[in-house]
Parts: sequence; structure tokens; C-alpha cells
Amino acid sequence: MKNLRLKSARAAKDLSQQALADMVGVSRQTINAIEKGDYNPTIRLCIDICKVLDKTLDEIFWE
Amino acid sequence: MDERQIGFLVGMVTGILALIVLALVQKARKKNTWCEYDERQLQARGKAFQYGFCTLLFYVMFYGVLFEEGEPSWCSNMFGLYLGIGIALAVFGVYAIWNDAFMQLNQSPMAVYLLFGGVGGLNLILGIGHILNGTITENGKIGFRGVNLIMGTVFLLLELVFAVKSCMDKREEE
Repeated sequence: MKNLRLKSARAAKDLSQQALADMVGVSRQTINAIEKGDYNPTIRLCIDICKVLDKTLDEIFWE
Repeated sequence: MDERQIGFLVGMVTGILALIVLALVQKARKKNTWCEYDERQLQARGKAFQYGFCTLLFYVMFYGVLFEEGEPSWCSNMFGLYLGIGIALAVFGVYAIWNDAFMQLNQSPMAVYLLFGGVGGLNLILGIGHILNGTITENGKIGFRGVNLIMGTVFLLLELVFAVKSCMDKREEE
């Protein structure tokens, strides 16, 4: 299932996939895979993404 | 041991030693930098290794069953086994490239193009040279010199897959 909340939170911060990927130390394709719902990130990566986007885990990853 | 076997052994040991030295230098250089692959890439590489390993396993199994009595009619055992290594390498490489798990996070695509193109091109040139010289066959069968053709084909295939995947990624990028 697509993670549209991650995509919109990233867009709200005016970050490209590459910029977010660099900030959390993963490849752009990994961020793309998470947004497309092709990859389930570990809790550690979820936390890193949430910290960068100033969101809680619930807001981005809880369904 | 004859001269050819000693030469082969020395070449192999030198190659392995060179690889170990290169790996140690690389490790020392990258000690303080960020991790080489991210979690998704490590997972995909694990799958790629799994598929490559299984391919090699099944190939060797079938090869052993089919040619238990002797060599194949068209190639030597050495060529036959390297063909399996080439196929397994291709399976690993194609899967890893297609899942964006071949390149490290801070690696430049140009380095990969140069590596694949250089190794593939050089091996293919050597292989074609062996065909033109007629030295690719030994006793009417493709011998060890045919390995250049296998490696050349595998690396150029990987280069092609890498180029296609890079184009797709560029199109997908925002």
C-alpha cells in the first residue's frame, strides 16, 4: 500500500526524495520504495524519517 | 605439474592476493565513512546472493549428473564449470542491479560503468582474439581460454542492465 502521508510530509518540507534519503542515510530508491509501499522500513529508519520530517510515527506510518 | 598448470596456479594466487590487498585498502580508507549499503539494499543483496548461490548449486548438480562419465562433447570441464560461475554471477548481478542494491550509497555510477565496461570489454577482446587465432579450442573442444568469452558476456550484460536501470531511475526521479 502506498505511503502517501510520507510523500505529502516530505513535500510539505520541500524535500526531494534524494534530499530526504541523504538526511537519513539511505538511497533515494529506498525512500521511493517506502513511498510506493514496496518496502517496509525498520523501526530505526522510521524514527529517523520522522525526526527529519518533524512528525510522529503514528502520523507517518500508522494505518 | 607442467608449466601451464604452474602458470595457472601462480596467476590464480596472484589474483586472489591482489583482491585481498585491494579489499584491505578499501576497508582502511572507508573506516570512518557512513555505512556502505542501507537496510533495503542489504536485504536485496542477501536475496541476490541466495539466487546466485542456488543457481550455481543446481548448475553443478545437473552438470555432475549429466557429465558423470566424462567431459561434454563440445567443451572442457574447466569451461563447463566456469560457465556455471558466469551464469550465477549474472543472476546475482542482474537481481542486485535491478533492485538498486549493487552500488554503494556513496559510489559514483561512472565507477561501475568503467568497471563493467573495462572488465567486460577486455575479456571479450581476448575471447574474440582466441577465436580468431584458433586457440579457443583444445582437442576440438572449447577450452579454458573460452572463459574470457563467458566473463566478457556476463560483464557486458551487467553493463547493459545497469544502463537500462539508470535510465529508468532518471525518468522516475522527481
